[in-house]
Amino acid sequence: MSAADKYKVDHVYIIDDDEVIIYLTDLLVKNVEFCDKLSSFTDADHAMNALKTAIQNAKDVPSVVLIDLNMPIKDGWAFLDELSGMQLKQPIPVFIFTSSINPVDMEKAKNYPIVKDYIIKPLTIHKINKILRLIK
Amino acid sequence: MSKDLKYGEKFFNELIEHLPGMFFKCYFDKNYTLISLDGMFHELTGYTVDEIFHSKRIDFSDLVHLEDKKWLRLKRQEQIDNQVPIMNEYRMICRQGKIKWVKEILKATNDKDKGEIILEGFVQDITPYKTNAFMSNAFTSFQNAVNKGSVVSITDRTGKILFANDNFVEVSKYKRQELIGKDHSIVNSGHHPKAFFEQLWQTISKGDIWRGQIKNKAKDGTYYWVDTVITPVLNERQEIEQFLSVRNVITEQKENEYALLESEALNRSVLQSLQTNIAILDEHGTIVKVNENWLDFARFGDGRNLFVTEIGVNYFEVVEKAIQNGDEYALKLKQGIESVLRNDVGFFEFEYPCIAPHVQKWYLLHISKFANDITRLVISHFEITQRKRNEETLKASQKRLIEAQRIAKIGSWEHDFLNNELIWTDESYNIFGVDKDSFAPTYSKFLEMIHPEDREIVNRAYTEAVKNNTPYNVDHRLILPDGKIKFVNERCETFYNSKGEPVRSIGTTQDITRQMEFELTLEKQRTRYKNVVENISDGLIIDDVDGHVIFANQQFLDMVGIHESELKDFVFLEHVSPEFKEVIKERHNRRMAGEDVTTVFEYAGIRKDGSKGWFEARVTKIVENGVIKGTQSAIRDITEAKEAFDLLKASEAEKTNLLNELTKRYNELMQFNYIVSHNLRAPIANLLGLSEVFEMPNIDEEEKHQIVSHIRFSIEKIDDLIQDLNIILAARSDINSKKELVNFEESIQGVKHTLEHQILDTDTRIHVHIASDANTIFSIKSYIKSSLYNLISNAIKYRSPDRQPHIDIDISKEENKIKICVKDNGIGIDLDRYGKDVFGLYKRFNFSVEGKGLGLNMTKAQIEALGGTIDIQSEPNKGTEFIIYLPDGSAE
Repeated sequence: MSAADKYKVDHVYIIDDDEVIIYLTDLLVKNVEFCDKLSSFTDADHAMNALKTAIQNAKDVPSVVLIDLNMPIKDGWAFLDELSGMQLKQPIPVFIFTSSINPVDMEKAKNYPIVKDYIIKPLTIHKINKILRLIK
Repeated sequence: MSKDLKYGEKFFNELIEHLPGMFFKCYFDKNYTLISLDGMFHELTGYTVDEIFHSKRIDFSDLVHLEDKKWLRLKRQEQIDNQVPIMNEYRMICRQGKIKWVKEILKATNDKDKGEIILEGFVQDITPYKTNAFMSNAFTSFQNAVNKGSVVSITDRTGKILFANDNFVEVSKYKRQELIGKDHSIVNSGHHPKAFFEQLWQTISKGDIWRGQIKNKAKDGTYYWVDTVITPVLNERQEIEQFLSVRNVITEQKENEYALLESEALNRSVLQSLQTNIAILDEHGTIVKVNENWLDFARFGDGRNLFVTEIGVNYFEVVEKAIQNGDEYALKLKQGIESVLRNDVGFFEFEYPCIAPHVQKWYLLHISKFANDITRLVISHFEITQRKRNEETLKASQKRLIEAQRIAKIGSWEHDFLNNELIWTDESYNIFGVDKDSFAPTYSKFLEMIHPEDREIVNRAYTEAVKNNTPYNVDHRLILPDGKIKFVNERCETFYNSKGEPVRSIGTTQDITRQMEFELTLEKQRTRYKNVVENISDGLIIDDVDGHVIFANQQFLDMVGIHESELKDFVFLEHVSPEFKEVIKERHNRRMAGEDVTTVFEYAGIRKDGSKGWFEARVTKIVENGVIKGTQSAIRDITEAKEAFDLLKASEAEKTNLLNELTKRYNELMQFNYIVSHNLRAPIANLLGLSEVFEMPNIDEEEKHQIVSHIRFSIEKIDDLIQDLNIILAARSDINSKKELVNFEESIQGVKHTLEHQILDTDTRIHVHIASDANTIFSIKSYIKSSLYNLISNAIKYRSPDRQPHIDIDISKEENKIKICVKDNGIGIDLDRYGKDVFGLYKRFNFSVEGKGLGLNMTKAQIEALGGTIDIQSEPNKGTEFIIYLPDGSAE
């Protein structure tokens, strides 16, 4: 393991409607020292509600959010719009976590300052290290 | 009485010779050949005695206004024939064309030697009175007496009849000897009360004229009414001596009235009726005779008391007194009297104002000798107030004329041939740029100022005009003293004497420099316009209301192949191809009637070589002063352009079709791209991730088992997607397939068969109702089938777990549309929340149900491709209804 691996974050949100992704991410996080806690959501609305509650209680506020773009009911963009409009004491870094390789989506993501990077699925150890470096 | 009569005649004769006015004596021949004339002639007419008498530049007869010449001769002849005094008023043309109204009082005598009639008498300027409709009562009655043949009698101051004219004898039916010496009451009818005659006597005894209507009785007892004017006749001592009665009865009489004319009473009557005040002085200055007007005037008086005079008063003393009072006019008067007495001058006169209590009057005072009798003087006053006023009015109007001329830049001039004088108005001097005070215009000086190139033309034009009595109207240039060039227009009218010799020309000079400069500019613009017209590539024509071409440029002539000389017979329609003639003709007529019709149009026309071409006309109405005069059109041969344009239009349409097709293909490609990048990529990404973790070291057997099951799930997903894509691509390719008659019942049966398992598994009830006129549709079979499949499978998929699923399919016809309703009792959709996304690609609205969101998007695409619409109505937990409208295909 490299030096960067010694660093890990407290709490990570993963929002994706694909159960396989949730399973895969969970499996990866268990094997790699990425975070202390992983909260997974298959619905952006549920994630947003949890986040609001956490901020209100100043407890369990995530250090990083990974979000899929293409989801039913509320997609990743709608979540980003809502989060961008919120007043936060400390900004929460967001990583777009998508299977889309469409350049239009990548361009669009650059318009959101809270988005740190655009991660194309699947998540790998290499990509986790990249996230850790970016938020360090 | 005979002595009195003789004196009276002499008095009359002398008097009229010394009145302010012109005395003359001439033959009553064709030219009124003059015998003698006095110095007043110059005064009255402005011509010198020499001019009329010796140089004969002007005939005496020419002085009478042209309009008055003829009747005046006839009237004089009539008056001579009737032996009545010749008294006429007419207009006299004086120097410089000035018109004066004059009154003549003439006597006619027979020149036995020559056998011709001689007229003598005086002519008086009555211009001021003409405007006042002047005529005294007495004068009117005198004229009536003479003209109408009145009843005239003279009585002494007691009423004894001294004279009775024939009319009196005739009307009264008495013999003359029965009347003479009798009291006038002989004809009293007894009709009038005593007071009537008392009032009459009171009036005439005071010396006043009485006028009234009296009923008289003739000898035979018949009555007659007379309009009577009784005039007291005064003797030298100013005492009433006789009464003159003039009566008018309505009876025509043509008796000899010579006796009346000869009578002193008549002479006096004439004298009294003159508007002039006359007094006669003896050598000592004592007034010996005055007329009635003098007395009236004396009574009227003025502030200075200078002229309050009557018979017996010494006039010189009155004047002296006035001089001592500082009256400057009195001093002038005295000097005048003295100069006449010394024989320095024949007469003396001056104008003076007389301040009356309410008005200011002007008088002309005239002093002359009484015939050749140097011991007696005639002094007369002649009221000239009106003339003075007229002069002032004239001055004012002249001032206005000068102003008007200045504004209009019109100067007027008068050329007098007798004296070769040229008279200019102020504006003429301005136009010629010379100083009024230092420049004396003459005809030769005028010629010198004309531009050398125009000089001869002007001279000839004027000379010819004068010679032939033709109008003179010429435009020419002037060279001003400062070298500037001016354009002027000159016109004049020339007047001739009876010999046909020119007397004078009266004309105008107008400065038209600005107009000429404007004309020149206009001409330049015309040339420029002509250049433009001839050099543009379009044909240009101007045609009149009837469609006759009145102008065409060379381009148009070349276009239709005619020569300019043929233009006058050319009608625009000749050039128009037969199928367009009617519409163009009608359009032209409507345009000429003032309607707004299209100004740019294309038509087929015939070229000069007979070939047919396409032309474009741009037409403009020509309107002058609000009247439509014709049209101006630009004609262009657009055959080539039109052909090119038609080609272009065709290729444009092709291009548009192609572009639409391309756009559609592109959109489809984008959709495909979306599906690949999102939906296909997702399971592949999962596979990649799963295979990576599979190789991680600390994965136990159970985990591996789990991973494999996920791998399998992902692969199945990919397989599903590929099948979906196949459906989409297959459906898209069907857009080009042929339409056919599609039976709804068969189609629904087909779908039910395909979905047999699901229907059985879920125990779904499907109710189908198809209206008899909506059983078939002319459409694309695969689209209809696929849409029904999607809607029915959707209804099953989103069924409610709480109740048995029911699907109602209702197909009916509305107008020329087929309406398809597919209604279920499923879980429904909250349209307020998801409405906009219902038909979006890969949208799912319910997590609990497996779906790919592909169906509705595809259905919408297919329905729209068929020219139809699809709409949704839904309520959560109650059900959903899809309504499709499709064209029934009957229109095709």
